[in-house]
This record gives sequence, C-alpha cells and structure tokens, in this order.
Amino acid sequence: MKRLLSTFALVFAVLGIAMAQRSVTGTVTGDDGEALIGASVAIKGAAGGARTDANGKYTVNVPAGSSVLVFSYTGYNTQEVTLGANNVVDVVLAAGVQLNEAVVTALGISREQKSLGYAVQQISGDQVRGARDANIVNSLSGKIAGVNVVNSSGNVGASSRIVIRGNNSITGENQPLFVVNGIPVDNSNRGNGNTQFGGVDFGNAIQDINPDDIESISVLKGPNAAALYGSRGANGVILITTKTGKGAQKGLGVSYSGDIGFSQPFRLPTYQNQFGQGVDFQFGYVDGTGNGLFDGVDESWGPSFDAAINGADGIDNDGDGQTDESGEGALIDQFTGKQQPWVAHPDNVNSIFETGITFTNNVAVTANGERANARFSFTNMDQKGMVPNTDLKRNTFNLSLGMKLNDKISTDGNITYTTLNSNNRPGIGYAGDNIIQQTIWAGRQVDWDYLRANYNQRDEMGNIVNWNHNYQNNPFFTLYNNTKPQARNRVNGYYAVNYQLLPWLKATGRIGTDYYNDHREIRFEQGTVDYPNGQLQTFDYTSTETNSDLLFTANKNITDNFSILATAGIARRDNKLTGNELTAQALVVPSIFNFSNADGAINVNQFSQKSRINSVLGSLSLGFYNFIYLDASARNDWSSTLPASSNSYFYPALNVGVVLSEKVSIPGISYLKVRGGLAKAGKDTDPYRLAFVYGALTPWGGVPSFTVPGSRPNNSLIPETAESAEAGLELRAFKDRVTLDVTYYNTSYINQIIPLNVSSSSGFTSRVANAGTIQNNGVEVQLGLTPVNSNDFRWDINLNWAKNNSMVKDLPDGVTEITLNTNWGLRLVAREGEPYGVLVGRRVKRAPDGQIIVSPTTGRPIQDVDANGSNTNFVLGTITPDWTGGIRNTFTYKNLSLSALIDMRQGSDVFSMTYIFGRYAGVLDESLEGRRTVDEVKNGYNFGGVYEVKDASGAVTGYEANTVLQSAEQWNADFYNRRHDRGVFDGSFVKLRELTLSYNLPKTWFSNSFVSGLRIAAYGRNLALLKSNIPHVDPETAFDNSNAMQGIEFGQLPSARTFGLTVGANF
Amino acid sequence: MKNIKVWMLILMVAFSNACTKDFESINTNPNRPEEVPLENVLISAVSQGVRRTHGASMNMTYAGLWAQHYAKIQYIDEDWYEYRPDALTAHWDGMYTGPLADLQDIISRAPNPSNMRAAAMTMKAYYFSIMTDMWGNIPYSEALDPDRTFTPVYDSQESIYADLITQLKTAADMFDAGGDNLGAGDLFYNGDVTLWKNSGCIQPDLQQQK
Repeated sequence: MKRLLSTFALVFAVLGIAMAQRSVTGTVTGDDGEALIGASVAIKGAAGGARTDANGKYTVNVPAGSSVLVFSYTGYNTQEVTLGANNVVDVVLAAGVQLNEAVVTALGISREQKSLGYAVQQISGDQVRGARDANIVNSLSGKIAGVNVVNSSGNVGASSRIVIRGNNSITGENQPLFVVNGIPVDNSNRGNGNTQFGGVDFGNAIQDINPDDIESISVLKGPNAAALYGSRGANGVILITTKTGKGAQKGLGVSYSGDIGFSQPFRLPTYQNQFGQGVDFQFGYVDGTGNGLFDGVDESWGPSFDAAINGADGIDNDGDGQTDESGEGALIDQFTGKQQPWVAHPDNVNSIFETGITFTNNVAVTANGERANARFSFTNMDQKGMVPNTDLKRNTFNLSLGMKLNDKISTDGNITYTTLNSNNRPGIGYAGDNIIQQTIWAGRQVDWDYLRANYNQRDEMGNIVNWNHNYQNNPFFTLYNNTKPQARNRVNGYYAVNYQLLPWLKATGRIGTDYYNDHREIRFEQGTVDYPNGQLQTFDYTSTETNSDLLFTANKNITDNFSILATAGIARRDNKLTGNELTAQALVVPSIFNFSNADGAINVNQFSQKSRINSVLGSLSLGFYNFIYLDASARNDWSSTLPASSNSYFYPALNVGVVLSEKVSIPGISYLKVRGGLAKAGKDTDPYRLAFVYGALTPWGGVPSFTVPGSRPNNSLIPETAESAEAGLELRAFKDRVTLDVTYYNTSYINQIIPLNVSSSSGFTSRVANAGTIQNNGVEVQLGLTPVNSNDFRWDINLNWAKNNSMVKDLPDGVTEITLNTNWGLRLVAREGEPYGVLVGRRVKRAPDGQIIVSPTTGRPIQDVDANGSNTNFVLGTITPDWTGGIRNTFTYKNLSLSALIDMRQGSDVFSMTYIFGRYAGVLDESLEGRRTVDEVKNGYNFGGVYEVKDASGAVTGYEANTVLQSAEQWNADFYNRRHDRGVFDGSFVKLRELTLSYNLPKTWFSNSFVSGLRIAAYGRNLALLKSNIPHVDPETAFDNSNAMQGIEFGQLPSARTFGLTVGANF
Repeated sequence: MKNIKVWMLILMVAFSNACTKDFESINTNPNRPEEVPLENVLISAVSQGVRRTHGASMNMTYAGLWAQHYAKIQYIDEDWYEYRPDALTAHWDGMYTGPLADLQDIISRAPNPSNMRAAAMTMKAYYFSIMTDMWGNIPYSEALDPDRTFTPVYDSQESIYADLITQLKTAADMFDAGGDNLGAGDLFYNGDVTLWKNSGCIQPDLQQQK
C-alpha cells in the first residue's frame, strides 16, 4: 500500500509537473495607453514565449519552475514581471530612451526595424525642426545616408533637389515620391522654364509641408522598400507622418512654439578693388550707352583707383586729351556726375543685401480621450528675404481626427490647408532681371547705395538712374518694380475607415487627395532694358491627385514562433493638371499689370492632362522564431499612359532578414542582423505620348493651320523598369553604444522612355522610345556611437555616409549621349559609359606636366582638339558626387543639449560662369594679376604657359616657356573665349550645417503654474564653409531643382547663413 | 494566408477588365486634335515651305549671300562665307520636319486619286527640287518614312530629278477639274485645278537641261 501510494505520488508528481505548466494571458500597452502589437513575451530561464496580437493581447504557456515573464518592445523599457497566483497579467511598458526602432514602412504600416529585409532610415520631427529651414528638403541634408540634397540658393522659397541613391532616370523624375500620412503629395516645380537664362525659381511644391506638424520622416531608399508605391517608388519614398492627438497627453493639451531666424549671405565672391569700369584703363561717362569713353561697357578694365598708377602709366584715363598727372587721375566723369572721385566701393555687392528675417509661430491643441483624439495646429511663417523687397508667407492649418466608433470600427482623417503667398522673388540666371548678374559685370566704382537711393529717379536723358544703359537695369528698380508674385492654395488630406473583420483581420478603406492652384506672375515695368515696353506673364496651374485604396491586413501569430503580417488590396490613382500661361508682350500704360493693358496680342498656352493608374497589390511578411523574417510584396499596375498591349505590368519584391543574434551569442553584441533582397518596380510615362496629334500654328489669313508634330509618338512603348538588389547588415553592441547599419545596393533602371533625336529627313526631329539604362550601385553606412553615457552627461555621434557609382548604358545605336542642358556651349549630358551628368565642352591644351600651352606669337592659350578633330567634346567633370556624408555630435548635460551637424560632399563638379564672366569682366580678385604695377599696366605681363617646339614634320619635340607679354584684359577675356575647362571646379564641400544649443527648463521651476514644459534653443544654420575647392561661390548650387539645371552656376543668389532662436512651451 | 492568395486572385481577375476601362478616353489628348481637315494641313505646308524657300532666310541668307546677289550689314557671317552650322541646320531640319512632313501626311491620308493628293505631290516635288538644287545629294527615296527608317540614305541629284518628274506627271494626270475642292488651304491657285495641272513639269524640266 505504501508502495502503491508512493507510486501514485510519483505519477502525480510527474503529472503535476506537466500540469503545473500554466497558461498566462494579458494585454501589453504602452504608457500612452496604446496596445503594443508584436511585443515580445519571454519566459525567463526557459524556452518558448509569445508575441502580442493586434490588440496587444498575448497568451503564453509557462512551464512550472518558471515564474518570471520578460516583456519587451522596441522603443520601450523591458520589464520583468514575477508571476503570482493570477493568470492574467496586464503590463504597461514605459517608453524607453533607446532609438525608436519602430519605423513606418510602405503603406504607412509601422513595423519593427528588426523584421525588415531592406534599408529604412527614420528621423524624428524634432531633428527636422532643430535648426530650422523653411524648406523641408533642406532639413534632410546630411541626416540620412544616401540622400543628396542640393539647395538651389538662399532665396525665399527657392527649390531644393533631393536624390536618393543616385539619379535613375535620364530625362524623367529622379526625386523621390513624397507621401504624407499615406497619401502621395506633389513636389513639382512647374513653369520655371529655362532658368539658367532668366526666370524665377518658384520652388518645389513640397515646401508647403509644415515642419511643425511632422511627427517623423521615414526614408525608403529604393525599390526594395518602396515597391508597393509602384511607379513612383523607384526613386525612393519620403514618408512623412504628421502629428495626431493619439499619442498626446490625456485630455486637453496646448503647445506653442515660436522661432525667429536672421539670415545673411553665406558666401559672396572676392572682388578686386583697384580698377573701375572701362576698357584699356580708360573711362568717361556720358550716357551709359557708349557715347562716352567706353561708358557702354560693363567691365572693370578701366582706370586704376590708385592715383599713383594713373599718373605714371602714360595713359589718358578720362579722355580729356592729356595724360593724367600724378594725383589728377582720380576725378572722372561717372553716372553720379562729372569729375567724381574715382574710388572703389569695396562693400558694394554686400550692401545690396538686407538681413533676412523669418518668423514662425505655431499653436497646437490636442485632445486625447478614450474613444477619440484630435489635434489642430496653426502655423504662420513670415519670411523677409535677404534680397530687398522679397518675401514669402505661409499659413498652415492642420486638423487630425481619430475616432473609435465601436470595438470594430474606427476612423481617422487628416486635412491640411496651406496658403503660400509671395509679393516678389528675385530673378535668376543670365538675365538683366538677376540683380547678381550685374555685380559680376559692374564697374567696381559703382556706388550701389546711390542706386538704391535713386532707383525711381530719371537722369538727364530720361533713363532710370543707373551706371549702364546697354545691358543693365538699376537693380533696385528691378527689385521694386519688376516683381514676381505667387499665390498657392493647397488642400491635402485623407479619410480612412478601419473595420476589424476578425481579431486578426482588418479592412481599411481610404481616400486621399492633394489639390492646389498656383498663380504666378512675372512683371516687367516699362523702361526695363530687356523689355522697354514692359511685359506681363501669368501662369496658373491646378493640380489634383486623388488616391483611393481598399486594403485588408492580416496579422496573426500562428504559433509562438510563427507570425504572419499580410496585406492585400486595390488602389486607384488619378492625376489631373491644367495650365494656363498668358503673355502680354508689351503694356500700353506703365505699372498696370493687367491684360486689359496689353499692347498687342496676348499669347496663350493652355493645356490640361489626365492620367490614371489602377493597382492590385499585396504583401506578406512571415516571421519564424524572431530569427528569420521573410518579406514579399507584389503589385500590378494598369496605367492609362501606356498602350493597351503593355499597360499592365507586374512587379514583385522579396526581402529576407536574419537576426543572427537570436541564435548566436557574440560577447558585447546585442543585436546582429543580415538582410538582403531583390525587387522590381515598373513605371509608366507621361500622358499623351502614344498618339499622333497636330500642332496649331498661327492661322494664315484667318484659315486655321495645323502641322504634324516634331516628335514622333510611339504607340508601342513598354513600361520602364527598375531592378534592384540590396544587402545589409545591422549591428548593436555594448549596450547600444555602438550601432551600425551598412547597405550595399545595385539598381538598374532599364527601358527608359526618352525622346531620342533622329535624322530630320525622316520627317521628325525626335522620337519617343524605350532606350537606355542607368545603373547605380553603392554603399550606405549609418554609424551611431555613444562614447560617454554617464548619469548627467551623454555624448552621441551619428554618422551617415554613402557612396554611389552611376553609369549610363545601353543607348541605342548611333546615340552616344543625350543632352540634358547646354550652357554657353558647355553640355550637360548622359553619355554612354560615363556617370550620369557629365560636363562636356572645350578645353585649353596642356603640356604633360599640366602647364597651359600657348601660342608662341600671342601668348594666348591654344584650344585642344581630340582625335576626331572636335574641340567641343572633352569630358570636363561629373556633377554627381562620389560620396556624401554627415556627422552629428550631440552633447547632453542634464537638460542642456549641444548638437553640431557637419555636412560633406566629395566630388560633384560645377561649371561656374560666375568665375568665367568674373574674369572676363575683371571684377574678381584674380583679375588683378598682370595689372598691379605701372610696368604691367604699360607693357603687359607674362602669364606663363609653354609653347610647343615642333620638328620639320610638325611633331612636338619639346616645350619652351612663354616669353610673350599681354594685357590682363586679353588674358582674362580668354577665360571666356577659350572656355570651358578653366571654369569647371570640384564642388566638394565640408559645411558646418547646423549648430543647436537647447535647454529644457527644469519642471520644478513652473510646477505650480499651468505650464507643463518649456524649451528654449539657439541655433545656427549653414554657419561655415570648412572646405571648398571652388572659388567665390557656394559649391552647393543650382538654378532650380530640375535635372537640367544642376552642376552649372551663374550669378548665384547667395545661400543663407541663419542664426535663430526657438521657444517651445507645453501647457 | 491561403485566403489572402485567393482574395488577391479574385481581385486581380475582377480588376483586370475593370481597371483599364476609360483608359482610352483618359489618354486622349484634349489639347490637340488627332485629325484635322487636310486643307488646314495644306495651308501649313504651303505657308511654312514658301516662307523658308522664298523668305528672308534660306533663300536670302544662304543662296543669295553666297552668290553675292546682295550683302548685309548685320549677321554677315554667310556674306563672308563663314559657315554657321546651327543656322543652316535649322533650314534643313525645318524643310523636312515642317512642310515636307505635312505634305507626306496629306499624301498618306488623301483619297487616291484626288486633287488634294495631287496638289501635295506637286508641292512636295517642288520643294525637293529646290532642296536638291541647293544641297545636291539629299535623302529622298527613304525620306519622310519613319516606319521604314530614321536614317534615310542620300540619293543622287540625278535619281531625285528623275523621280520628281515621274511624281509631277502622276500628279498632273490625277488632277480632275470635277474632283474634290482644295478649299481655303490652296494659297497658290485658290482651288483652280487646271492651273495646278499646268504648273507641274516646268521647273524640273528646265533645270534638267543644264
């Protein structure tokens, strides 16, 4: 019996062990009350575990002997809970101070970075607002590996170009798609025309995004991450999530932030201040059109400001018939009056600019309750430019609503209304309307303050007061009378309904739209040099994009070690654009900028276009043992812009992530993941490229006249395709004090739809065809270090670095290059076998040691000729950078934080016409060489170089040093005459981009008041150019953000150096 | 997971028809016509072509200046026999892609036979005769046929003339006083088909005598 009992006891004991395994359930929520999806529930000291479902619920089987559960979720502090008698354990995790690892991915799905098989980099809204810039694109510079930002200028509302992982498209869009809260938004920069020869940079439309409303920005860098965005995801996607009331404090919350920034020119050319306007050291003003002594020229080869030189050079400087005596040559007729002192105005260009001021004020109200949340925000930005009489005002109203109707149905929505108004922006490019143009041409004696004081006065001849009347307008007349206003009104937002069909299955219906109308004017007052009768141009654009989709999302943990996240759905995108461009070539009465005042016919260009894409899409993410993650996505698009035979195109992506640290334990390394994947993305084309349509000519004698088009349409186009492979490694070590993310990618963009030039004897000048490939491959590195992390002090280093190699391939037979732009004979081309965007043109001939080869008789440089006998076909540079990088150092001491961002770019050549014309016109410092002494002024100067020594057969046998003297004027003129290579510079730079000092006031200071948080910060933006190989101008430059206007510079409106103060308060 | 695949399949099938509906109308260019009356193309061919061949450009700037029939005080490059490739290319391109392309369009669209087709053939032969007089060997037999080639071969002047005469004779035979009206596009003879018929063969015949 005893034995029997003991046997029973043993059996019970065994059973008991088995039965002691208990099932624990519960809910895991964050400290904001939101359920945490996919949080890990591990059993300390035992295998097994679970993940929370879509409602934050979990069930875990705990073996006997185990009594502690470990709850963890990225971005939250891990919490251990000792089990008591209760089998229901609800846990609230506190938000951690770790890097936020949950990232927003395609379709707006928030996922753990751990589970992704591709590169995504996310930054918070605070990082964008840090040292604030009005244009959101500029705020991304240096912060994300592989993202190259080029800010066109420091002009109010200037455009900014952003390219991720290199340019993919030869003539099409290369900038990423911007998506706000899941809805694509327009970033066009329409109607600027060929801004290198005048016009206005009205800016890219994404600058309507208000930084104050941004919660986070997630960058999907290539097709692997962005395949679900289809056509437009091939260049990457910038996903912007705006703030909502969801994560806000319970109940009502109010916040305010105010910012004031002061801007001044970042870099201006270095001018010479020894010679004034004129030719051959002579000048005398009569009317500024050539009736005086060289008074029609706008170059600075006139008399010296140094009376000693003028007196001794034996030249009659002012044309009064006698050689100037020493001391006498300092009085010369000028536009300011007869026999005026001939003096330099060293500060004369700088004195054009004013201090730019930007005020930004934001008020946000949040309400967060059990079933509903809301946020309303109003932001006013009021910007006064550095250029006189330029401004930009932006108001943003943002409303976000979320509501739980019942356990199954919830809705959310967001609407933003933005108004952007400008009374004037400065003209740019090579045009009289660009006020910087004439600082490059102007005589160095010109007194700009006099021009400013008298811009609305007329001189004796009835001309507007100016120093030259052949080419130049009084710059202040231009700024105050030739204005370029703009008004844009924009509404964008979405409304979504979520229906929880099953605990693991959700349906979401969503409609979103981005609508704006944009009115611009370009006005020329009568009396303007280029438009003596005045001119009025207006541009009206209305753009609408509507996206609607229906998505099913399944999220289920099949077993503890196997999870599924799947989406499937349908989507439709409709785009519509209308434009109305009017020009009155002359005005009847001055100052009335209305078409009723047009003198003569009004030119009209009116157009409208539509396109539609329908899609079916799906994705499937599988997770095994928190170890291997598989990610597959697929999409099929049907585009209205392609022929019926090829308008349906399918593209898949497959990515794998393996978290090695789950299975292999390496000392010090807490997290190690490798990932890789393949992806494809299809792309359609512009509307109306298939069918033959007639162009309208001016009617002949009242009879309409139609002609065949110059470009041959193609009704057998196929979709463009991007093919991409990427692999990466993620590592966290030493308690997250070292984080590393390395990615290698290789992308080929094939079958590009481009207009190809054809022999005109075919009846067409070009044809639209699928042709050409651009291949990009490269490496991206993100490195985070925390060298010091003590209780009160913390030092973080964040480094981003990326190298991209691009190559143009597969151009059709007979086509060696596709010209993107031509500027003063220099071509910006996509050339087979070269990186995208090479500068091609003329160069001077050089000896093997690099010395310039000159003519033995004149001393002037000789132009080089290639093996084919062409002197215009030399590759002089590449506009795309070799690598880009940024380093941010952040020092935090208690509530005080100091952060510095250094932004770098290596490579990327720039063709500077500022330099070439500045040499030609004799205004730049370098132009003093060869006219510094009386001897040089009188006899000329040996500018060096060598000449070729040839034998009887004409073969070069050696080189001899040049002995010929020539004038500085001649030598510098050849910078233009023999252009282009001496104007091509390495545009590499190192900039101190951002410096921020911020202080969170201790809460104890105002604990009894209604204020719950107060922050003040001082910042600087674009503080210093630490390294540059290009003289006189900011190496970061463009006329606007289009493909064609890159890598070429003239008359750059300087970029801005900004100092500012920010105050933020929560109530 | 199975469900998802099925769902997706159903969606795709259901969608593939529905989702290309309206595409043709969406992608129809609302800004420019796909078809216009031929007389409105004829007026373009005549006015553009005559402007080039007899206006102050190709005729005057090149032929006239090179022959020193007259001189200029501005833009005197050609007067000095300085060759400006861009300016000259504009005329070469302009003739082929402008009036000749328009005439080819009329020839391909007009009924055969018809007065419209005959007029286009006559004008085309006329322009080509001026061009070969000016440039010698030029693309002709393969020209204006992009379906065939974008790089037409150059033909000898002799073979071009031989064909021009054939074309003009064919056109002259095609004109029919009782046939279609050339409409307001006929800037030459205001619709008088007899004058068109007679105009044909004179110039090339004369030229060939040389």
